[in-house]
Amino acid sequence: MLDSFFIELRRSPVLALAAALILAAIAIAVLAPVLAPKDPNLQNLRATLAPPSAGFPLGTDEYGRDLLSRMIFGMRNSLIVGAAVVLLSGLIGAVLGISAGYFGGWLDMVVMRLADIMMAFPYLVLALGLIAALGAGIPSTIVALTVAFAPIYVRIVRSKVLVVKEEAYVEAARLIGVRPRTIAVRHVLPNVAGPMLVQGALTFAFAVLAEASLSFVGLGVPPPAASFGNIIAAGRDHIIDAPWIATSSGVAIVALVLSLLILADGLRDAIDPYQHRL
Amino acid sequence: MTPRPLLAVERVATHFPVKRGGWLRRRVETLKAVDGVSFAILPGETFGIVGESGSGKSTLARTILRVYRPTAGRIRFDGLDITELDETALGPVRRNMQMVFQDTKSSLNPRLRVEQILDEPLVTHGLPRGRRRVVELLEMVGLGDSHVERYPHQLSGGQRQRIGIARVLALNPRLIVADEPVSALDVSIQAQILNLLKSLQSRLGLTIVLIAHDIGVVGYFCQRVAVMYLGRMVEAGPGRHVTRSPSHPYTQALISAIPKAEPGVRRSRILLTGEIPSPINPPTGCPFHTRCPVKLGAICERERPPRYRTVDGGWAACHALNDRPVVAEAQEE
Repeated sequence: MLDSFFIELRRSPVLALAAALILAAIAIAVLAPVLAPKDPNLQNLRATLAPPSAGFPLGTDEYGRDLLSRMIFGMRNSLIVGAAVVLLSGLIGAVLGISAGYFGGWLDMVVMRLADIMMAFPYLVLALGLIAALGAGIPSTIVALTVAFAPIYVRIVRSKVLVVKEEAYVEAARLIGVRPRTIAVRHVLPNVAGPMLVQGALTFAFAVLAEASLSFVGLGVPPPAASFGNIIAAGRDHIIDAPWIATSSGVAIVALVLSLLILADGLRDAIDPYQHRL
Repeated sequence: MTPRPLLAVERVATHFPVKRGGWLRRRVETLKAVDGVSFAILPGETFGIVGESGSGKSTLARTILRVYRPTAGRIRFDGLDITELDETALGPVRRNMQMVFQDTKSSLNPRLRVEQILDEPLVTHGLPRGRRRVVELLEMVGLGDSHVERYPHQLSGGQRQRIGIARVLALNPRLIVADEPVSALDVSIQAQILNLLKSLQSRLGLTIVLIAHDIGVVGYFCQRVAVMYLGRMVEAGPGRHVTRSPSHPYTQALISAIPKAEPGVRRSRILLTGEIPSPINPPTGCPFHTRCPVKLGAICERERPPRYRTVDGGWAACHALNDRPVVAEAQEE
């Protein structure tokens, strides 16, 4: 699967660019304290709303904070939320999806009806409600978005499990006497990993977007901590006199989300055996 | 005294509920995939089961191996009644009865290497493991060292089927049920795989149940052959007799459909009309009466035919043979 992803990378320059941008974003997030030229929360009231210059490469916001440093830490917060949501909802999706799909029965019934109920809510409304109950902050943003995105995972994993469990190799393992739990982990899980990976990239994109939306309305990453969403919110009030604030983080969100969507597309092509071109 | 059969199947039926109709007019009907089948296999024997698709032969195979629990009847393996055993109790029995599958693509996990595939039965049953054992198994099926690291998609269909057989041999089972083991393979490969099974059978003293829709394959391979139609056995007997001079009109029609490699020789073909009836509402009496060219009359529609003796311990269930001695009464489920 990894080999065919590398083939896709060589085949498509757009995918290569997206992958490079994502790697760069991860590097920025990891190295944020080293890369940021200034303290992202340091106010400088003599340099508020300063346009980009040598001292402030992307300008400053209304408190005179260095926008580049805030963007770098905003990237870090966005990726922390995105990665945590992908991992947690992926884990929940794998466990519940495989249990529901492979073992079936009442468990399947209960899990899937719960997933249906949750999917009936628009995910942002669901997340808003959960944050209202849990209180704002990065951990509750992660919890809320995990709950919002897990049902899609459960559905995707379950539907793939239903296909895989009819394969003769699962029947063969059962006849050999392999225990059901071992079959689920050894035979079913690896064969649903591909679609999960694709869904992971998609969920990452949507989680970044959702985190920005929540932070924009003040419910995601709490100020003064930086996030693309709250930087845009701060820039909205000065969209005429200091357009660089909203523009820079807007461009960053678009680039990040678009790259993730292109990556998901590339992964999908890579795991689909019928898509292979020479 | 005759030896104890390794596998004894007595009046086994496997029915499936089928939900029909919409939400308001839901009714549950019964699909009688296997409907009152009896036979016994001696140790070391090769037993063939032929029939059209939909005749219930694959369901019968999976019922024997207790993938399905039969609706009625009894299955005895080496004297042990396994009809009602649960999965835990079946564990040690399963080691001795294994299955070879039709679809070589689907029967091997695409994400596991050959080594891992062959290790699975060994580790599951706590048998001696390791690369040497894996190579040993590969050599038994005509493969070798060079295939250990391969993934299934790097092998040909014939090679994959050999891996499927090696996986079964790893457990050293006494009974192998092969469900259409060659019908997905090229004709040139079919003979190789059949010969491999044959040589393993004589070398290891295996008992083999071979299921196929190709009566030629079964006649070549098996000492005894049974013919299934619509979930029932209609004829059984020595392979040579059933495939050369069959007694049941259905078997006769099947045999006459085999093309012969003799140009210019015109044979009388028995053409059956109509479709195989649905196993959901199978015909009463003899299942074949709707298409039978020698149908006697009302008795065929009303009564299930008993088993009449043919030759060499063979029998056929057909009312037209009523001048012969009865071996067993009609097999109601």
